[in-house]
Amino acid sequence: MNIIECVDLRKEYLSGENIVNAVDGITVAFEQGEFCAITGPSGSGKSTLLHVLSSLENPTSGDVIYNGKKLSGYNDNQLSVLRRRRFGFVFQAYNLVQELTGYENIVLPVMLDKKKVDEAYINKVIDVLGIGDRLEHLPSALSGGQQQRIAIARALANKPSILFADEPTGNLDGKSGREVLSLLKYVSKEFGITLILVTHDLNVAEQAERIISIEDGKIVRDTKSSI
Amino acid sequence: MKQKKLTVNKLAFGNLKARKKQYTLMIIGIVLAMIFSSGVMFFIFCLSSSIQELNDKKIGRQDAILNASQNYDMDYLFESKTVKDHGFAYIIGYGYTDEKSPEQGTSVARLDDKAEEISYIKAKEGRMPEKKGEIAIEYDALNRLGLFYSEIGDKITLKFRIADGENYLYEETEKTYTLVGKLWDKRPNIEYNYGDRSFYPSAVVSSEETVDLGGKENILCFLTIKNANLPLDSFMEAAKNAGIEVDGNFDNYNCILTTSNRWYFSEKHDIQSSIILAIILSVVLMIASCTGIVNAFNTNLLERKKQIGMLRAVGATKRQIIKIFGREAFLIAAVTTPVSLAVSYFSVKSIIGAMGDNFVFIPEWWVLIVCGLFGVVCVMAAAFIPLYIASRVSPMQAIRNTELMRKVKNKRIRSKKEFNAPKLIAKRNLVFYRKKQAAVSVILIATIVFTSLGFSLLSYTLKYDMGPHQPGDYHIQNQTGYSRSVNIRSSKGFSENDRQEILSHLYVSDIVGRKEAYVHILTDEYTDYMRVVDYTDSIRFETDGGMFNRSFEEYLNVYGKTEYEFYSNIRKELGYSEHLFPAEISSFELSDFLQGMENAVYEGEINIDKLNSGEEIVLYAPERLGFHRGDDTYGTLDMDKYESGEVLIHGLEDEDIKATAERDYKVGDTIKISTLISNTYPEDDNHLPKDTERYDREVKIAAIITDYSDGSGGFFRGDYLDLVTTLEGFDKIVPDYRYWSFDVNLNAECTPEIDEEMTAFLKSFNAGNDGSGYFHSKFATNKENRKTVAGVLVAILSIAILFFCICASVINNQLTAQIRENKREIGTLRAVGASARELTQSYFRELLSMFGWGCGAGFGLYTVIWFVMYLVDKYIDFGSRYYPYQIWEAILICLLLLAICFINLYSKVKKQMKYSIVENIREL
Repeated sequence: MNIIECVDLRKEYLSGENIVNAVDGITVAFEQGEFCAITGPSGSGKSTLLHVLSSLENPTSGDVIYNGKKLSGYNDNQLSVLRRRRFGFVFQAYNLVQELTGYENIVLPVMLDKKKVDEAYINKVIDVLGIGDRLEHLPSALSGGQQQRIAIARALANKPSILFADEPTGNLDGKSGREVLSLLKYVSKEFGITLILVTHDLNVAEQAERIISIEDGKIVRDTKSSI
Repeated sequence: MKQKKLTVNKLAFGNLKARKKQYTLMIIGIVLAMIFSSGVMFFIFCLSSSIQELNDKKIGRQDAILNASQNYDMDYLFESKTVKDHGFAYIIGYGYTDEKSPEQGTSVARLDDKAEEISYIKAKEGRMPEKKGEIAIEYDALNRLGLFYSEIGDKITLKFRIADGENYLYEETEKTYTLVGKLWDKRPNIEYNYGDRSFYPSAVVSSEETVDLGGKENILCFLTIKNANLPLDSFMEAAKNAGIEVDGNFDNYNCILTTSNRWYFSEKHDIQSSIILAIILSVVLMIASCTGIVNAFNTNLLERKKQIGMLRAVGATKRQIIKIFGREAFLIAAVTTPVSLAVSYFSVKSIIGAMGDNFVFIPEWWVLIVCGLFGVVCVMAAAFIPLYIASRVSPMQAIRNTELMRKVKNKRIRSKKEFNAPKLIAKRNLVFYRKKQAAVSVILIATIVFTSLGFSLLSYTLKYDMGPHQPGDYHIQNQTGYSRSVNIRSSKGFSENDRQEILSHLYVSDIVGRKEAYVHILTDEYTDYMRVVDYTDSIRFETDGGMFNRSFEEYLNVYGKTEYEFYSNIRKELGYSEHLFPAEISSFELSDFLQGMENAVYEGEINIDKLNSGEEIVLYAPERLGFHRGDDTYGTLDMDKYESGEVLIHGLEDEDIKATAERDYKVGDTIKISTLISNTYPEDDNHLPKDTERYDREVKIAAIITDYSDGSGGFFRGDYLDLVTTLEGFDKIVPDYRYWSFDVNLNAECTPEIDEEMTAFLKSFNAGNDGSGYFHSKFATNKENRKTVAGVLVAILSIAILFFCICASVINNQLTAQIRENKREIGTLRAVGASARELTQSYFRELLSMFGWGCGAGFGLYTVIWFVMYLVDKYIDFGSRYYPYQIWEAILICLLLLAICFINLYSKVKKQMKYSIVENIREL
């Protein structure tokens, strides 16, 4: 069953006087619980595809359909609710709120949703990510790897259906990168979450069940991994 | 291809050009902050100069005026080094137009250059006389002479009596002059404060005029005294040695020491206080301005620090960096300073211009220069200090802004398990970036304090200075005759016929009359209460310079005893067996009396029939009286209630209470009062006139009043132990006595034409006596008051609007800059599900907190200032008028500001929401 899909999706940018087709008529679907890596060279449009799929950006044309509903029909508030309840994001630059502690950053989506924190679940996530001793620290006091783990925990806090990760290991050293990737894989399996990950690193992509290769805004290859 | 040389200027300009938007915001912030201080300071100092100028025009710049100075050893006085400067006015004669009332004339003088400068005799219209045959006259004198409608250039003819030293020759001649100028009124102001000083020249001629043959000039000397603000002992000593008859006050007919006058003092005091206040406020404004400038620079400090890091990373030396950014700061200062000063100059010019013709714009250039220099220094410092620090750290530290990270790291924060996200983020922002609030808070504080003080001043002006000083449309007053407690049935005052004549005038609807007379309370012994009253009133049985020049002990030994000559004579001549305590009796029309008594009665009850029949009376006597004073002070005493029904009288210097006394009378007591009336003045100071009649009467005290003040000073103005009754009651106690004053009301709305007619008509009743009466037109005063109120209102509103705009701009700039800086955080929050509402909420909470601090501190500071002013008024100046506590206008301004800031905030957040989250998050 497809949890999210896009149909003839296009995203154009103005670069000086030229129009750049960052996403050029992509149609693709993702199943519940799958781990998919989107890969391609720099400027191929992989991050743009992720941003449009996750509603961080509006498409120029085409549709993104989540659970059978077109996102173009959602207003700003509905999209906000969707992002905090159903989607989780992990950015390359972590993007933690600098004024909040590790724990506060993690539970931020739950607090924005004005819900009670499911402490058992959050504690499990924290345990899995191994960040129990960094919760009282502000982001500026954490290493890159630790910040990214906090970012992953935040993305998982509201038990999302889909976890979008944009080059999550891009800012990390090899060891931390590997650890973060294993964690992402683990939590997606553990909590039954669809993981859509963008990377230009083939080693990272190879860890995924499905690899979509993009060039010039178009899918050039969509393969299921043998793993 | 030839490479263009990359200069520091080019880099600096390039920097400014590349970040147009940020720099525009920053420059606007700096300009506003500079206008904030320079505009207000320039306004305060210009207004202060304007008030000083007005004061000089009203009374002159001299500290003393000496009439008949030819009689004194002036060389000795000048050589005593106590005189700073002096000039002479040579009185050549006395001019008048109506031989039946020569007192309605003026002395005519020529002035030397110094006298013109010091006396500040100036033409309000036209010019000063330059050649023989020209004359300039004060408006009031023109009115007295019946030449009010004379135009500049008109020929005027005066009956003229040539000066003969101190006096004038009896022979009358005629002189014709060309009126070339109308002078600012000074003689009425001087006479208002010092009494009759008819020698003061209300008319001046050119220096070519000399006294006619057979005459002798009377030389008037205008002096400024060295250190006139300090005690004038050495000047007094020198004056005495120069032969000038000075008493403690340097106050006799021939001498006016303008510095000893309370009114002059209070004007000077007001001006000096306002300058001190201006300096204090300037410091506050400078701090506010400085914070504003630093804040403006902080709006893109982060980015600039990163730039420095980049430049250092590509090999720029510290020196080069400082040169580039120094030039940039200089360029910013060079643009902002002249713009701010020009805006300030023209704003102040327009505000003072709009305040009416009582205020003249006198530009105080030094203030602008100081503000300009301060602005440049402040801009350079605000730009340099953080950049200098940034240039000292490693390039990567500058790029990554580790300073901020370190600061944040050092904060001890405990995680909250559950929280309201917008609230917590707002709170943390305020904790981490406290400095950012400072500018907003400081500017809010300044706005609130200034606005509240401004409206306090306006309320004060409306309540006291513009209050109904006289109850009628017109007030004429002419002190009925008296001499040493004997009432003289002279031509002074107003008769019943005068009353009927005025009532029959076409425009008059009614008249409220008032009578006053001297009486004696007969008593078996002089009580302590009476002695305290006698001493502090300082007018009873003595005439030589004021009781207050004596110590209380001296008073008790001489005047407090009952043996001195005049007192013994009265008792002997009129066969009094009792002692006499001199008092005054004031009487009012029934309605006026009832209204005045409404809130004044402390104990007892008023029965009008009994008052009208002369059986009962109202006594003005607080329960307990006390006073304290310094030993060597001179001047008058002020009083202050310190408990209900009790009055403490202060001297000019605080000391322990010297005497207190309990009231001797109570309601229901019968007192004997005795009135002396004569048709002629006494022949000498120690005896009564031969035809003195004595009227004795026993009256019962119906009620006691302890405080008569009705806020406007329009009712009873008696001293302690004085008596109050109705006109009908008065006639029973003091038979066949004239009115002291009339309040005349019109039956139609007053127009300039009616006012002119009524002024001439009513003044004729005063002139009919001896011209010394007092006249007051509410219409004319209201016109003048309206002008002043309009001026004050324009000034306060202009400053309030200026503050409002600057405040709004600074706060909005701050918010705009913060939202721009927080773009990435906004993107992050949106990505994790925050809606526009939550983002706005978060910023609004920050805004509310800034407002909370600013408003709290602002209203707190205003309250403290107000309270200090109140205490100063009450315990140092001993005044009974207080600045009202006025906060509603400032609250309104704050609410309006909050609303504007909220709208701006909402629109800025909305603008960020129009971008995609990715655009928000992307590094610039």
